[in-house]
Amino acid sequence: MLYYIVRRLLMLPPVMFIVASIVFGLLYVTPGDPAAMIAGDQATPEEVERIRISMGLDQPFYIRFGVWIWQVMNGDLGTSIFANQPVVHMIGQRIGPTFSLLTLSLVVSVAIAIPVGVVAAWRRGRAIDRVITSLTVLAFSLPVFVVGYLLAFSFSTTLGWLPAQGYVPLADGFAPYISHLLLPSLTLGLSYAAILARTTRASMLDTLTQDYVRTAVAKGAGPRVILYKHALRNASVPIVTIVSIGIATLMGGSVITESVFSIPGIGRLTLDAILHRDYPVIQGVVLLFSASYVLINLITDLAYTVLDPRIRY
Amino acid sequence: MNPVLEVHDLDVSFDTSVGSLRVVRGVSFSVGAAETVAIVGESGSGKSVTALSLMRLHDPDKTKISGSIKFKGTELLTLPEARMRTVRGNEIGMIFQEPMSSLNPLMPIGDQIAEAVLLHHDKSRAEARRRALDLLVQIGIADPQRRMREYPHQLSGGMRQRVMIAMAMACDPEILIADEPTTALDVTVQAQILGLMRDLKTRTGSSIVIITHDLGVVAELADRVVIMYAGVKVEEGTIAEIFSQPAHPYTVGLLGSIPSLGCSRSGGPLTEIPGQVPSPSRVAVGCSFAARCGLTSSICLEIEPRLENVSPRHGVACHHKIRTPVA
Repeated sequence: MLYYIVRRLLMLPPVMFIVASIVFGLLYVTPGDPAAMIAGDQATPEEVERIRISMGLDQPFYIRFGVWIWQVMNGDLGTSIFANQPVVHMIGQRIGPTFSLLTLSLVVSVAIAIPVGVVAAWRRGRAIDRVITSLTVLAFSLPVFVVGYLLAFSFSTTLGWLPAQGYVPLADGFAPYISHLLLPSLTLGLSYAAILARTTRASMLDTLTQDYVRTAVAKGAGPRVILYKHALRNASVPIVTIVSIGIATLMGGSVITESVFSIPGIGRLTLDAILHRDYPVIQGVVLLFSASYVLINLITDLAYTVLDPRIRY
Repeated sequence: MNPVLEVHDLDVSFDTSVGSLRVVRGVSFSVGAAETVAIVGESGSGKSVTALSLMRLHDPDKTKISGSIKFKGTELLTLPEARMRTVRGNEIGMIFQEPMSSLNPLMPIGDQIAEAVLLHHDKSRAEARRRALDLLVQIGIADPQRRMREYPHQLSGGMRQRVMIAMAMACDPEILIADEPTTALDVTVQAQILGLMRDLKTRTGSSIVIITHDLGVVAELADRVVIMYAGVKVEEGTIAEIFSQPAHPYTVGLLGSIPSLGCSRSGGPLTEIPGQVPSPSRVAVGCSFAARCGLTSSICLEIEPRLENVSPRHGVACHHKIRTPVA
């Protein structure tokens, strides 16, 4: 087991290297010149060229790549072209809101989707199942920004229950922290919850027909014990898989959600960096996302062994 | 003596995409205290469906059950689901054909047995686990302390079936229903499981309903036999009557298809019953065995035979009852 974890962690650097190379190469071939952006519209070609040289953008591709990789290996993601701040520092400032948003979306989605999926499976073919199934299709079909503006319009603008903008750190109190995060989390988590509810339903339908569920009924177990203790545990491996795959979708969705609700997180940082061709920031963020994703995958694989004693590495 | 279980005119139909299938038709039998009744038939005879009906384990949305199943005078078919749960596992225990898939793969077996106790008795977890351990000892599992913590995939098929039996017996039920308990097991293990069931029966005095297609199992365990064919009870009698004086051609056919060592019953080669059990979607008028029977006459194709007694406890549904012992 420990050997397995070590082996998986050793795979992290090569994966990151490949991701880094792809991102670096992709940015190299995309049009747009950061030097021109910094210099502004009125700048002469000579000024732009001077800025480009000062930023090292005149160097050949492999030298720039080599320098960057060397820096990354030393824990330095470079300096933002636009903000003129270390990228590590900028990410550090922005990670709190994004982490909070992702965590709350995850918790809210799982807390809604699993009971909903279980009920739909238990009452399959009945009215409640049809309602749930239709709602999941709807929730899944709505784009994040539409859901975001709808929720902000109803619960903030119209009802005035929750704030529609901004972020308050946890240090400033739990109530304002949660109230600012609730609408963004619902927005981000909705389609995720829909997929999760569908997966839960499908996986539960499968386990509910298994012989051991019949055994549980024959023992005299009630619906709660049958559904949650026997069926859901056995249905959990596919559900956990979808939870973990979905985190990648959530990361992507956070870019839009943070823009809609003006949350100063990694998503906003990414968006701004792309608009400004701020290469070091984009590269840093992508590396962060891919590293988190590799780690989440590892945690998922380890979770399987906890859920199912037959799975051993 | 009042019977513990009385099944009267049981009818079971399933709703399927091709319409309603009537798989059990008017079956009646009773089980006395400490009595073992075997329900025997080929695949598709409706014997397992009958067994599952006794505990109301069919999907209520897709199954129609009519008739009467009385347990110690209480009608089970109309019992509210919540009351039915206090019967299941507590007063009637059940073991299934597939020990491989009938245990929850994610729960240690000790917990699964203890759960059966906790569902029906107001006991602490520790007490329930002690009871589970005690049961594992009773069913002859070596090193029970360690086995308690093991998962089903760590046990052999025979051991899993023992665990199923321990689970079914956890609350000392009045009746144990065993649906083909030995079919999926090796022959040597089959004998052990049958021995264990006989052992438990004498120790606990519970009644047993055993569903099987194996007349060897019947001979080992049963007091009385109910023979089913195509959803209908075709013959019923004590084990002596069925084995020495089978009156229904189908029963005779079943007996002729068992190999015997030494003193051969018929002295001849093994016989088989030609054809197969008709599908419940195509049950014709008349006797459902007519198409495979050697004694079929015109009446068999027109009128379904009714069960008639040939002796006080021996009933046969056939127009051409065989009266001479096969000897």
